Amino acid sequence: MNRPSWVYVLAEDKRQQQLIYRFLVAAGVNPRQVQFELSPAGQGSAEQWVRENFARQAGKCRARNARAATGMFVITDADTRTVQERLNILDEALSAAGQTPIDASRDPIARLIPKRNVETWILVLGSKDTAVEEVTDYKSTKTSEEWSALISSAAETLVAWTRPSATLPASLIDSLRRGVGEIPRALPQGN
Amino acid sequence: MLKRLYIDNFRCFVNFEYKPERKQLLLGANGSGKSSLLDAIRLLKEFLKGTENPFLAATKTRWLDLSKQVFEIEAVVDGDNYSYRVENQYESDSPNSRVKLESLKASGETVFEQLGGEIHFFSGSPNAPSILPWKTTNSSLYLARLGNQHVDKFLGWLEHVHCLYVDAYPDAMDDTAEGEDAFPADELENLADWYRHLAQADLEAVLAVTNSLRGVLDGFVSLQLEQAGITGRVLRATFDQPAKRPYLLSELSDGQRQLIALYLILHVLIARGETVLLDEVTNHLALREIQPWLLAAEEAVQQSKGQLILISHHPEILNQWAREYGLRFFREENGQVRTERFKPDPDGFLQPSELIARGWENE
Repeated sequence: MNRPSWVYVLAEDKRQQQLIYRFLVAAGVNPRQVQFELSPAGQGSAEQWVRENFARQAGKCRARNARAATGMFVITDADTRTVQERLNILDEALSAAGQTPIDASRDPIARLIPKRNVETWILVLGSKDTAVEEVTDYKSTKTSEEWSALISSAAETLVAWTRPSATLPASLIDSLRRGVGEIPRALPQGN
Repeated sequence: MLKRLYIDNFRCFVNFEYKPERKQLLLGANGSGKSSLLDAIRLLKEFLKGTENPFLAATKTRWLDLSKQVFEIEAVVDGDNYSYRVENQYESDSPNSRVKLESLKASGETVFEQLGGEIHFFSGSPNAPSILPWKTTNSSLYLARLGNQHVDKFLGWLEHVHCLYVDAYPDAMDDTAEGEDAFPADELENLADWYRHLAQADLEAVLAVTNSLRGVLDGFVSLQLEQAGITGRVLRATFDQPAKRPYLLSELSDGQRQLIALYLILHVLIARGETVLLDEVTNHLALREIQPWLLAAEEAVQQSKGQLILISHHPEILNQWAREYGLRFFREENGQVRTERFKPDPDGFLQPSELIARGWENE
């Protein structure tokens, strides 16, 4: 599988976008190789919008892959569901659109499903706090500015952890361990 | 950071209060007052230089016949809260205004006041100002700049508030730098002079601009200032095409000039944490260039703790910023401007640009 030269990112909100953007920039990706699309919806229905657009966008990326390596990130919070349930929902969306489920060996599509939500990942990556777990909703524990300030170090950690030689902490939360494993195949070549 | 602006009896603003945020997108129909807001700030900056009074009778609200015009500016500068107020008085037989009252407060304490032709300087004791009779045609705040650190700090901050409309037409953006300008002009017509200053004063920013432009302009190498006459310089862009002479700024396309201006604004003004208001700056840009600039600008504001306020009708900017930072300007039936937070599609289906294109954003 060729490394993508361009990547599309489907995200629920600005905070997810900030994490992915800073990660991609820190990984050396030219921002002109990336196109973000954000859900127009508020909390609650953003997940639905991402799900409904996922199959259409994945189909476009798959079709374009025949002529140019094209990656895709989709990021959607697990919230109170399990990561596997969210993965199943995304696969069902593909199936309903007449597409095959994601094949990790073939599709440069990374499905990032933070549990409980992206703030959980930012806390783990940014503060390396081992007490952070996936049930508590940490969203309201910080101001928007504080979350934003933490995202830079979170992105740096994510870059370090997605390197081929990286060793992940044994206590790492499951959703992030899984997400880290998905990222490299959708990551465009850096400059 | 600009915290509040109050305007009464200026164009379409009547008893109008605006509280900007760190990042904000001003949106709304044509004629809803967005650009007039920037004009008000531009005129206030000009007024506060003290050399002329740009507030003429023609700037009053047309459908009212009021003699008093009021502006207030509130700002937080390095932890100090400043509150400035000016009242202009118009006589029925004159196109000019005179300054009836002008005051500046720092954290609630009056540090300067001009009232009825008397200037009260508070540089010594706050309770015992020294009083000087003075003319009331222009702002007199600048007179206290040397003797009062708060006045100096407030006026210094205001110099770093930029209301920019990047007019990329070749005639507007001059190739030649006759000298150095520390600040960009409102339409960046002095871009060459500003760049000449930056090349001396802020090499780090110039390098960052160069690197960004290499990413967005095919074959771009650098900007160069070439000797022109005894003191002048002309600004040229060099490209990786050895056979060709570097292009004059005016020989570049409108979009290329606009990209140069935008990345200068990003790496100099926004990165320094200044307050930047940009009016429709993406008119000439290729669609692909808008999002990378916008994301980088958003990051820079976050890092520098600056302030970026955009006016735009562009779908890409609306879709990226309206949901989180959108402030809709609209006119009430009597004509005056009001604002409200942008309301996204309640069904979460339509992107902000689609909602606005249909005129459904206020439903």
